[in-house]
Amino acid sequence: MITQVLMQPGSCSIELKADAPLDIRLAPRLRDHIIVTPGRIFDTAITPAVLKAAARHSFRIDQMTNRTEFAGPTIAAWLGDASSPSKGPLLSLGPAAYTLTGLINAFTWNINGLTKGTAYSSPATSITDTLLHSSHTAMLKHWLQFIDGEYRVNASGSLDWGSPGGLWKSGAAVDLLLTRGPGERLPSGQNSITVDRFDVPESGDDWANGHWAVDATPAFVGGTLITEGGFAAGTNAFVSVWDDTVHTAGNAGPRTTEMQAEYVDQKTVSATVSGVFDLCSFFTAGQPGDYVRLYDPERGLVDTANESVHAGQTIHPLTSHRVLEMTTPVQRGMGVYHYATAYTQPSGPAGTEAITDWSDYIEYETSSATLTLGVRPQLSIRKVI
Amino acid sequence: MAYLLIGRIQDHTVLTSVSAATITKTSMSFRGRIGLGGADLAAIAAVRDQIIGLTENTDEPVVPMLYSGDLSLTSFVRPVSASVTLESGSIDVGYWEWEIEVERLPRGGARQQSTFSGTCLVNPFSVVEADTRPWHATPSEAVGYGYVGINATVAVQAGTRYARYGPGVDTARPGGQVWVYDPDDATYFTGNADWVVDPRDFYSMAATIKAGAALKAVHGRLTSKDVTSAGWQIGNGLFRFGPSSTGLISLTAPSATASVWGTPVQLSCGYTTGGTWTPFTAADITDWMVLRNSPECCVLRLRVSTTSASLNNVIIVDILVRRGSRFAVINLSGGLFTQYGIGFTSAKAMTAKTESVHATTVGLKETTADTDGNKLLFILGSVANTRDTANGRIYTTSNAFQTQVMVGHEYQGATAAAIDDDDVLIHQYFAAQTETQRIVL
Repeated sequence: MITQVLMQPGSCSIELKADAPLDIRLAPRLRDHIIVTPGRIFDTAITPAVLKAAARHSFRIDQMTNRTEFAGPTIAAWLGDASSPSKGPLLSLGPAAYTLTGLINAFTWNINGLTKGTAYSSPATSITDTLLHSSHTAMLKHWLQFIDGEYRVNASGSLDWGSPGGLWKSGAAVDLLLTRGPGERLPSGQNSITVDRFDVPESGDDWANGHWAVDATPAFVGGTLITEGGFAAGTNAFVSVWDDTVHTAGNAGPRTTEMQAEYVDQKTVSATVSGVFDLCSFFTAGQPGDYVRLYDPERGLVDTANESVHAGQTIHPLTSHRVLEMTTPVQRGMGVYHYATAYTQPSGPAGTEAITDWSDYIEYETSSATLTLGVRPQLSIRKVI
Repeated sequence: MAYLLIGRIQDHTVLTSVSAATITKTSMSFRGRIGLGGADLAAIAAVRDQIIGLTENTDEPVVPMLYSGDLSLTSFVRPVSASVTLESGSIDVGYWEWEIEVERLPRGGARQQSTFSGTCLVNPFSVVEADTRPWHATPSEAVGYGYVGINATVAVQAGTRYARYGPGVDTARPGGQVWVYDPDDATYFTGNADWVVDPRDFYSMAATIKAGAALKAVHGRLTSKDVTSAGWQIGNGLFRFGPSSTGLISLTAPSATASVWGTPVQLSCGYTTGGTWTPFTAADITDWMVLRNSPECCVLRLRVSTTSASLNNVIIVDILVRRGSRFAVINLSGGLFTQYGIGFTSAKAMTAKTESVHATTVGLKETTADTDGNKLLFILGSVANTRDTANGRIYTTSNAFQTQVMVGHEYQGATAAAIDDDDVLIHQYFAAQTETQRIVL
């Protein structure tokens, strides 16, 4: 099962058949990669470059059970996190002004095999701050508190970055419709996928919807004061103070603006899809992030401002949602390869890359896929006291 | 012998010879034998599809049912299982066993609830919500109609109930009339409309798709396909579309005497490139399928193969018919990026039709009424349109992958009733709402 989350490492697992050959089962080392391709590659001399270019999913083996179950996060985890720092020099920056592109250029590449990819309409905003972090993930997310930007680690191992509209399908490029009606691929290029069911949980507060104001002159450096509006002058009904990880006072305002946008009423939607082979092929880089159209009037998924035609009827789908998380099965017909990467092998003459085709020995899955959709991804580094 | 009427199977000669009827508090099951005579295998296949279409039906999870052996059981039910058993030799003599089990609904369930979704069609003619005429139609046998708006700020929603008439020859029970509810202003149906109808009248003037040479009503979306010249039909008792003898589709409206169907009008869908019109004919239809099959709305899709020497030579023609409507909405789409349109197969003069509020030309209307006294209307209201008034054809001005046209008729053009007036039909078209009808317990 492959679970991918926008700007998070996700979690993946595959299972070998119990009677898979012993040499296949005993070969993997922890931190090796498993690569899933949309179709089998029949080439006994397949090279890492070809495999990475063809990859749909790449994940790192962090756990092995009985040498038949292999699980771990996607290779985005090589950017490190609180529990598993990135390999490489400690990262410290500033105080200096960096745009998102400038920040990524300042990293020492490559990072455990990850390479620098392409910028897609990266925001020009530059932020000045001082940072000392032990992981590239923390560094990126610190910066993304202030800038409306995103990044993506492709299955090939390259890191792309930019604005959400540039990195993913958005605006006029959006054509995919998720609906409970019949799905179809029309010759005019519009695609739709039949959803077995939509779930729309609603909870939490609606507090950011025009109800709160930012106090631009906080009482202490680095903190941000948010007061509830609508009350008589001079009274504050509720005060929320954000965790102080901002070292430069001027950044508090931009961060609060980004955080307010995060808490706007999201109406996350969960969609269950079955019977589609390689569902990820509908999305950019096979990952969550694209904007899609959602339509199910019985679940409130309508927006009269958007008119489309589907299955001969005029519909008004919601266009504000993006795929934030996606869980898809590893299906028969896909290729699965074990990739012993150079930087997880012991150093010395024995350390060479090796690729083994596991496709014949996999317990393939037939379960449904689940998509989680929302307006904006949540970044886990943000804390509220 | 006793017979069963269930769902769209409203012909009492089909589910006859009911040999067993088991009734419990929560369920009813019936078993019998279909007898249609040995010769008509296509009709047998159509009936088989009607029976198995009863279950797992997303359009109609609840259907009306009548058992002649005990009329007190006439009610709405939820089909649980439906099967047909074919034994060797039985097909040759034209009979086989059927078995249907249904779940009884508490109190028989008779209240219908219609919910709506949609708004004014996006258009370049400055037509806005306030210019349009939202509407809703129910069978004329329906009673107790009540529209409750969500968060209504007025105690009672104003409006008028109009009657529209058709030939009445397609309904199992005498009728041929439908009620059209109109708020008399541009109030869109945002709330629910509740109404009550007897199970025996549920399909009166319903949107219906028929299949096969014998034109049996399709129940559900699965049906054996017959792409021959007599293979399909979609209509609502006020008009109907079927294959055309010379063009692609034919539109049949009621005749002047209103008790019989009129003469079919042959129409062609096609596209224009560089001013040259390329129409399709019924012989180009390679397949058709049902996209929606509920009494309030049906959608039929035709796949048409073109002679275009390119990698994109399929055109999709979707025909949408709502209960109580005098027009169908046809969506043309395909792999060709071109100017899609519709027109008469044989040239017939039409006059430009303007929308009454903004005086913009939205379509074409027949200059003189046809032999049945009706005037055909083509409206291409979503994008700029080009009109060939000499030949009676309309198509988009710019290239596109998809085009929507309205094809309807002003019933009894010269003496049209208020609700059938062409300006009213245009404003009803722009009020693009879709209806979903549910049985409410």
